[in-house]
Amino acid sequence: MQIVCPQCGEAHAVAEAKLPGRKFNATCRRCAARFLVEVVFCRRCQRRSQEGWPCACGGEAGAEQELEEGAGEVTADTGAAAGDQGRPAAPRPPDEYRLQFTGSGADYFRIWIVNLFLTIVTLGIYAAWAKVRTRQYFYSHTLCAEEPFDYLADPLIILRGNLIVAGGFLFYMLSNVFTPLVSSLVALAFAGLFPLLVFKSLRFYARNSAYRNIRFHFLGSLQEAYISYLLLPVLLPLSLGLLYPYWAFRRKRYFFDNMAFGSRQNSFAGQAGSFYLVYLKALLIVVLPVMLLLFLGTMMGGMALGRGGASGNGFMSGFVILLLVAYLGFFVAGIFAQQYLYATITNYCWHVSSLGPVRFRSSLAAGRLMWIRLTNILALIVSAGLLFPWTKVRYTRYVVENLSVITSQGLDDFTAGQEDSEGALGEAALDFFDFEVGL
Amino acid sequence: MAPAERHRFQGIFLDGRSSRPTPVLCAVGRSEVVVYDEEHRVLVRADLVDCVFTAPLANSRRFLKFPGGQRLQVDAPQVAAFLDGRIRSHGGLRLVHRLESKRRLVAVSLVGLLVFVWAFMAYGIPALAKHLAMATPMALMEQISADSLELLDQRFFAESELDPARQQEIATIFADLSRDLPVHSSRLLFRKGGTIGANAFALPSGTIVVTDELVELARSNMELQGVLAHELIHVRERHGLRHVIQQTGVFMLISTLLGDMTSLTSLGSTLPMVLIESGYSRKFEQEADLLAGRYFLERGQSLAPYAELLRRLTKDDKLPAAASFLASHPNPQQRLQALAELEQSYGQ
Repeated sequence: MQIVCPQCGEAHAVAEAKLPGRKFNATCRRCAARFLVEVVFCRRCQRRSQEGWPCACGGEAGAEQELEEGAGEVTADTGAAAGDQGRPAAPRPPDEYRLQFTGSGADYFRIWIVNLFLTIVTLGIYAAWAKVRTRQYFYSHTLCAEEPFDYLADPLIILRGNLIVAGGFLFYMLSNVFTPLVSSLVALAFAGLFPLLVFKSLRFYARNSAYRNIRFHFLGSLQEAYISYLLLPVLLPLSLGLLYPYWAFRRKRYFFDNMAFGSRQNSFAGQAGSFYLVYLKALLIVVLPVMLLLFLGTMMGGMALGRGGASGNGFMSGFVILLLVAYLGFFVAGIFAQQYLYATITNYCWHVSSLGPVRFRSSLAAGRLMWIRLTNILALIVSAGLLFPWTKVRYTRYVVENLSVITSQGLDDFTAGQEDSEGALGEAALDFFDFEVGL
Repeated sequence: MAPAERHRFQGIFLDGRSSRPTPVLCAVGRSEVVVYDEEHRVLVRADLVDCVFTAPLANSRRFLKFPGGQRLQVDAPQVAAFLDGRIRSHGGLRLVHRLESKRRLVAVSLVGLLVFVWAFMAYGIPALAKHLAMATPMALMEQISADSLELLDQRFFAESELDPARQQEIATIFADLSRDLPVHSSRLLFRKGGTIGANAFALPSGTIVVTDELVELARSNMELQGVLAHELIHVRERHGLRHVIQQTGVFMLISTLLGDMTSLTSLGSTLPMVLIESGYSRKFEQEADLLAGRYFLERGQSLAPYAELLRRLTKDDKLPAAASFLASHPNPQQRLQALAELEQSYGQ
């Protein structure tokens, strides 16, 4: 909400969550005048607005609706609006801006169906626009301090990338069947180019993401991409998988340490050791229950064997039970370990990140995440995929709304960085070959 | 009432250089837009034709973007409508927005989507594959077939242990057949099938491979003649090539449709593909059976020997699921029945 000082006309933006009530005294940051603010609802856009001033939407402000009950006169300074003249003398406690997601499954369903329809009708050409529209929808409904994110990619650039990738893919598919030698060369070339694609797509993705009209940037080097996406995967089997957590660490560091908002680069203070710890725990989550189940299963099998005597029948059924239970346990534990890894590592990466004075807090819970994943998969199966928009919105809402931005200096002091340009080829290739380079 | 010529509204302005939002007053005229700060100093003045008004998308906020990279949030619907009238950017996406906004149009899109997907699967992809396959130059097909044969030889086949006289006998039958069922070129090869067992293969170049096991399974040359004709039809109709092209087409179609769902298990995307593909190859097998059957019937021959061999092949359950004569073929019961019906309809 915007509060304007009647004395000097200075406008203050105040987060709605921080309004102390319906009526309160505020102190102007500019001229130090104290004045009474009455909060009213705009008749047109239903947003909060200051009594006596036209709303930002151009509508009339009217006190039609009650804001809060029993909120009488509050004589307190209001966070950002209040304060003493000039620089704040005493350090304020940091503000926490929890991200909000305001998208809805019903809205996204319409966008999704129309996207698919137009993509099919145009033989895939519209896919580029569909992608931009989907991203724009999700970005513009992700709010930080009431301001949305913005996706700016040009569909034509994405289309160009799509065409090149589709051509390469067609060549691969056809050569795979007829001339396996050529197709393995294509696959090899793809593996060799993959780090470049990651690098390019991260740059494209970042540069086309914006908040408050300031673009993000990705400042990682190509060399580091080759270490994280070619060298380490090649070394992985040689290390008998022991390098795996380190590999995950390098990929996360590559992303988090090189992201920049405007001219300010994020810094990532994560340690490889922490990743090893998390992966060890995940391993225990999978291995322990399975061991337990195997043990129980063996007991049951043994009992069945004892009861069935030497008939062999009891032994077989016991064995089958053992296998089934162990398999089911392994499956569930595997999904849980996956969600545990995702939640813990995401939380950790945000925790050790700092964007100048800004810190982050991510509070994903593995159990909740697993519940959402499982029920989403179930919903998709039951609805033959038609509930996809709801599942995606639901998952996104949970992940987004568990991220907070923490800062004691507000979010107003970021400046734009240098501009660069990058094709969408990398990103398209990643999409097409189903690789996830998520947060 | 004539539409307003000028609009004035308060808004939040971001200059693209800093993340500090500025409350501003904006005046939009017929051709010009001016943004003032609180002290009525001009922040931006621009021609509307140089500005971009972001495309409507569900209930997302819309922004007026200035040539200098600045951005102004526009909330008031009458201002948005006015700007839509003055700025001609994103014309197509406004139509898309209309499609998305009307419940009935969304329903029409859903039905249209289903119809198009079905039409592509049933007609579009097969027709396209046929054209592409028929246009494929011989040289390429020769190359392709040589590579495939080399691979099969390496992985599965061993040299044939058939008696040269027996080979010669079958080659004569084959030569007669290829005179009647002309293909660009044809060649008959014998191989020991090994794990593949009794089987026959047609390569796009016209090379047909028959395994020793199949020859031994056949009780008469008439039976073998049926299989050879079936394979020659595959060659003539370029079924192998068409199958591969269709496979690729289906894969691309499915990955387009499921593009957004890729985080799902891969089963979700491979299962429909397997189903559709086996549907396609069934069609080709039926076609080859039908055309071969007609050929024999026209020459006054019975289809019984061919059907007999098919029946025996089915009993031979040791067949692996390789790209072969029986795997991915239609239910043998159905095939036999189709042959019987064909023969019957011909007799009348």
